[in-house]
Amino acid sequence: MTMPNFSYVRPKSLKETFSHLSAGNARIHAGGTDLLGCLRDGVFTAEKVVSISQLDELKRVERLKDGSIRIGALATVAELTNHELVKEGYPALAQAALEVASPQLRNQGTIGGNLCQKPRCWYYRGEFHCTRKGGTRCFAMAGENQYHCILGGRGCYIVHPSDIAPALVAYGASVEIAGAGETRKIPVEKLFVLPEQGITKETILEPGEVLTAVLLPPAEEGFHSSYRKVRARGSWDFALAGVALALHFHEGRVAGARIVLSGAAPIPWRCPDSEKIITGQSLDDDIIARAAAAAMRQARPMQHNEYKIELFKGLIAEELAAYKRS
Amino acid sequence: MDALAEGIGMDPVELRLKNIPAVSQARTGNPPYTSTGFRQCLTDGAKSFGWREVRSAIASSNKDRNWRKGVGMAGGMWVVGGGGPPATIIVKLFADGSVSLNMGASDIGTGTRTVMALVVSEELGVKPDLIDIDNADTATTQYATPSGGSKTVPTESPAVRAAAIHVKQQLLAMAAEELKEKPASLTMKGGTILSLADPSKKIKVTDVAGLKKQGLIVGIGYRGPNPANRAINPFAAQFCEVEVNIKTGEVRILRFLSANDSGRVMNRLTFDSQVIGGITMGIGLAMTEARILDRNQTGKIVSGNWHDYKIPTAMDVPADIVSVPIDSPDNEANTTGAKGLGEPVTIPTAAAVANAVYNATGLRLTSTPISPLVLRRALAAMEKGTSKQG
Ligand SMILES: Cc1cc2nc3c(=O)[nH]c(=O)nc-3n(C[C@H](O)[C@H](O)[C@H](O)COP(=O)(O)OP(=O)(O)OC[C@H]3O[C@@H](n4cnc5c(N)ncnc54)[C@H](O)[C@@H]3O)c2cc1C
Repeated sequence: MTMPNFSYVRPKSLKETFSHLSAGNARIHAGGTDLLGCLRDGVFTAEKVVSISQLDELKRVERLKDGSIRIGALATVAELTNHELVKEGYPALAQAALEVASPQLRNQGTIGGNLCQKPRCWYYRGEFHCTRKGGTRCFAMAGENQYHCILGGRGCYIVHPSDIAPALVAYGASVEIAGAGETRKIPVEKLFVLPEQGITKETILEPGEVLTAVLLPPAEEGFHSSYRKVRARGSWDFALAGVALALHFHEGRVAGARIVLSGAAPIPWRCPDSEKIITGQSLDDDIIARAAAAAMRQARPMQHNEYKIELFKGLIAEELAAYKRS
Repeated sequence: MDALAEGIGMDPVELRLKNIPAVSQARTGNPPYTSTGFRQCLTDGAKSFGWREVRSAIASSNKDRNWRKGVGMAGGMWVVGGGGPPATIIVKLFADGSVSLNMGASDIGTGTRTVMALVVSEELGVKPDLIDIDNADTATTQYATPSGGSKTVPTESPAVRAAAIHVKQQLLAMAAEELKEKPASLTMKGGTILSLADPSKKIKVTDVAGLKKQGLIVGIGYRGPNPANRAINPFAAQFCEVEVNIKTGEVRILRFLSANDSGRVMNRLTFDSQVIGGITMGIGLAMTEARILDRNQTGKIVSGNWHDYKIPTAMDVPADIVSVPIDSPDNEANTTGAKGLGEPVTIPTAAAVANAVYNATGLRLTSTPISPLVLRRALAAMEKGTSKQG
């Protein structure tokens, strides 16, 4: 397919950005790695493409007075892999960023774009008029659904494509959303939308709103985190299954836990039952196996993706076992 | 083959060594091979890989780990690779000693031009950098068959040799007149023509009066037929070591070795490059590539882009790839002794990976790609089987 026509603007301020976005069918362009593919493949259209690349205020990565970290929406994925503030306090985020796409895409893609990217379902991205594109049918339900979700699907069975989002949810991070009106601060966990809440959107962002920053709470003592991803190809490939862990240990026991999956559901998927099982415990094989099983209790596989259940159990168990007391 | 070897308790290399055919079993009349270096592929390959030692050491290294190591091997031959007519080459020797080679065949990145220059150089004693090659231009070169079937070198290089010989014959005839010798008693060495009997009788190529007068000598070479009632095939044996996560179904390929008999090794660099490329493509077949149709609904392809159709990346191919060239000129096949390389390399790769995965896990996979998805399904079936028995 060829690139359709659109007008292109590069505003110098957020205010100017909002006014451009308020006009008709406008789309935000950050690094363009996802947007341009969507436009070329006809996934959606745009009359106006609004580049936010001139907004220097969205590029900073800094530690705030309260110890939290503020990452501007235009920070590149590559920056997340090697920024001292990220590597030191938030290794799961650095690891997740390193699992994203390929070096070229990490250099060009931004954290804001990564959180707002469109899903990779091959029906949605292909020439199929599916429910997410306003059609009446989800082709994955009776089709080639090997890479689709086992949790949280309804009328649409995408998996959320981001590796970064589960790590952010594990840290309890928030995003700043600015619009013509007031700026909102929302936990990343509440940013994403399940199909049953809105089948044609992935985030709660309203048209005309810009995600301006990601906020990470201060890193604490006794806090451990990691992200691991299983994929079919060693680079340039989305997760078949991934898990972000953020565990707080106190005197050898788990004092607090977040377990968040990628490749499992239409949104980064938290596993509250598993978190409950390990909290207050010291990790041993039995607890770990129970936690891993609990994460999959609600899973509803389709014809070709049942393999994901045991894959996730194995993956979660393997990741938790790394924290076992020997 | 691997299952058979295991069934009778024999090393898979041993089983193959005992069954090396001297004749083609698939072709009518069972013609003999012009050459088969398969035995040497197996023995030299196994030796460089450390097959016996690694195989026995690996079994004990796998206790209590999710990541299990395994080794596997496979042999292969490629159904074509002998090349054949037509091919027509024009070689011009200019009065200043430089050479032009005119050839229809393309160089699709394989180093065809390098190999052809070396053949001219070998025949005429001209330095390769004095050889200019004009090829794959439909305005200035003659018809050539496509670059496929691993046949460009065995098809074109004998015709290149023939064209160079044609030039040489004319040149030696001119020099013979000047040196008062018979053409047959002259030889060429490094830009000089000398008498075999009396090396003090010599003349520089650029001093040959006939050549100076004409300005150039034109030689035309044609590719002759392949020998009748013979099969010309390249052979290969490959060995690899993998690591499989028995919980997630992930496979890491740790190293690969390929021993290839493609007749004469025309150039080591281009030879190894074909081996490394062939293994890379073979790993794609083994691990990642799949064309997926929306079978039950629209019949449309769903993996029709470079993201969903997954060719391997640098991260999927081990840094440790060893090429063991079996350099044995096949002089019955053609005048350069070369058989094809390229495709033959990809033949055993997926089988070697599958055998290594079996060695690591006990899972016998007979289809590709061996992705975490497929392996996880197979692991589940096996886990079910054992729990039923237990
Ligand atoms: C081949 C390929 C492989 C990939 N593999 C992975 C992977 O393995 N893991 C992974 O996590 N990601 C992967 N990605 C996604 C990649 O990380 C994203 O494309 C990238 O991060 C998007 O950033 P961008 O700045 O280029 O966004 P753009 O393409 O500019 O924008 C993406 C979308 O977000 C919207 N948007 C962008 N910025 C904002 C903002 N500040 N506020 C509101 N909306 C905004 C745009 O309108 C657009 O719809 C892959 C992408 C490609 C093309």
